[in-house]
Amino acid sequence: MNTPVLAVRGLRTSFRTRAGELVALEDVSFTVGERETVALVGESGCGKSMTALSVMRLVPQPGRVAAGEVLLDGVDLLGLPEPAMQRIRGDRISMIFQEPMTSLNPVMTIGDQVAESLLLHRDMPRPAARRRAIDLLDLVRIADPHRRVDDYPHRLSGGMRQRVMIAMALALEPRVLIADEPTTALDVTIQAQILELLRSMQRALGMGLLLITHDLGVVAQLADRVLVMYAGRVVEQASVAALFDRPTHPYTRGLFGATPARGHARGRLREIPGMVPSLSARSAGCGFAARCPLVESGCVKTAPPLLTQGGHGVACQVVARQRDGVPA
Amino acid sequence: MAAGRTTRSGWLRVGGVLARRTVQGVPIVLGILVINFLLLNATPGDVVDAMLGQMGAADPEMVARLRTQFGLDRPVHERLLLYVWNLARLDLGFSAFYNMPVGTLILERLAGTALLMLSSIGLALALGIVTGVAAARRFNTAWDTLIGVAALLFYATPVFWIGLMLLVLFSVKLGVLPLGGMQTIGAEFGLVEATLDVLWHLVLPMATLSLFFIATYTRLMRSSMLEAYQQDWVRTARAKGVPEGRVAYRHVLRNALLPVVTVVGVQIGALLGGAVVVETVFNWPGLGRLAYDAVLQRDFNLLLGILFMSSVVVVVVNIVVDLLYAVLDPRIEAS
Repeated sequence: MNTPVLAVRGLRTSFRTRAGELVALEDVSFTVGERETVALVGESGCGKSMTALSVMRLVPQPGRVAAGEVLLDGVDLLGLPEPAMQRIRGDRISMIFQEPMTSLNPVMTIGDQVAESLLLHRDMPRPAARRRAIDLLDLVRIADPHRRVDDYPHRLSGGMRQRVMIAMALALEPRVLIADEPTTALDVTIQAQILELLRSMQRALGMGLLLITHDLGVVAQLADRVLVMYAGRVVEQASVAALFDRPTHPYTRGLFGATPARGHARGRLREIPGMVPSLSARSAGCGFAARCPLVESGCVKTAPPLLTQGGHGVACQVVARQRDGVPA
Repeated sequence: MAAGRTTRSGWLRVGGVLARRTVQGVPIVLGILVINFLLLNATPGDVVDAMLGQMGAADPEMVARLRTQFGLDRPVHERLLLYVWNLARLDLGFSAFYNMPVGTLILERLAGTALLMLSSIGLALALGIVTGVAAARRFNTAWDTLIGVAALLFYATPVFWIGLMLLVLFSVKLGVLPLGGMQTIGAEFGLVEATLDVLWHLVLPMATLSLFFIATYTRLMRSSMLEAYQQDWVRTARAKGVPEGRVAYRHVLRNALLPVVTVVGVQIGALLGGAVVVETVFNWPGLGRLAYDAVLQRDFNLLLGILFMSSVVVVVVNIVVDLLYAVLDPRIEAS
């Protein structure tokens, strides 16, 4: 948890449209250390997946990373030419996705899909790549990997397909794995198995894990540190213990309020009123102002910076004033 | 090269499709045959009328004799049964006009049509796929627009007109390609020269017939590729570090081919129809022109034989398409 393998600084991702430039991410900064799990939480549309795609340099057209740095072991990925980036993707940084049912090519065997990375990045001869693919399937605990290696994705369940995705992503033992809601589409028992698999693989390979989720239960189970995102910005950042102990940003508090807790099974959950503003509706001020219970007149004028105190960062001017005035 | 290793279960799958579709194909061909037979018998005039028209005289006694000779005096159901019975023994009957067995006539011309159709469809598929993929990869650029406009132009232009214009340009003005026919008449060639001679004659008819299909496949391939590009697994491939060319040809293309293969199967009938026009324009000795002449001569035995052959070809091609589908898409199981 000391040297960051991945350091993202001042990331800004925007989309050029006829309506002008729409900013999806603004000033996103964080680090992921070796063996560290950093969770990225927030509602749908907050920019979690966009952050992941920006790091991978896979932002779909007409989007682009407009500013910032993505340092992988000190090398800025944003400055690399595309062929060099292709050599890094799937080798030193890889990614698994939310939808295991649609994330595998339906007309290629899972063995070929796992082996493809080995063929591309390591120039491995086909038979060796196939043997390695079988080993990898075995490693992610797919039963009978010798037979399964020739199966097409439609023969596999969602949980099995996510295991294949993990095998594919880990084939070359990357430094960083980005997991974009890896368990959202799976049922609860399978979720637990996949999370356990991710954790053990992380320990075995010593890689950094950037875990994107909106499930605070998953965060508590797996993460070391948490970034809370809202409307394209990081609004709170803390260790898991600190965040669960004292959620500070009004949005984070809203998220916790909307999560069912043991002993509070009765009654309606408190939701955060309103919705995440669309890209075109974002203003210069705090993105959360329209839904915030603590909103003041100053909130809509400028976006508050992320102020860190004792390792716990919060981007809220009301909270900042309270911190100054009333020592916690 | 194909992504899927052909496994034992893969062959079983393909074999199942083959067996099922062949069994389904027999009644289809028989049904088409019966309908053709009844339709042709419902049209006014027969080969005897056509012959008399050319002779310019009509002796009722001779008319009756000719009709008896060709079996035209029998009732329709009896003639139909006789036709099917002969067909079962691979006998397609006798062409009254050419004074030859229909089977022999068709075999003589089959090679010409097969050569023209296969080369045209091969060229159309190869070029259509390449340009369609190129357009999809350069989506919304000048190249994409250019390919789109060219495809629309060839799609909309009548085949016979293109044929005539190509003839005017390459044969009449430039004089680099032959005016028509399948080989140079009266030339003494060795095997190699004869082959080259046929290919030289083939260029214009093949280009004419395939242009429309190149345009169709280009447009289809482009939209099919664009749709496949939207799928989640394309992002997975890119996240693995697969270069764009490999993403296009190895991941997206195979998924995008399925709709194209379907259309090829459906269009094989249209291709036969197009062949009739092209064979007429280029004086190409094929089944299309034979059929055209058979209609003019009311030579129903010959026409029936050609129609039967065509229906067999269409059914067989559709079976091949289904097989290709099963090979291309592992999700299709034989059940």
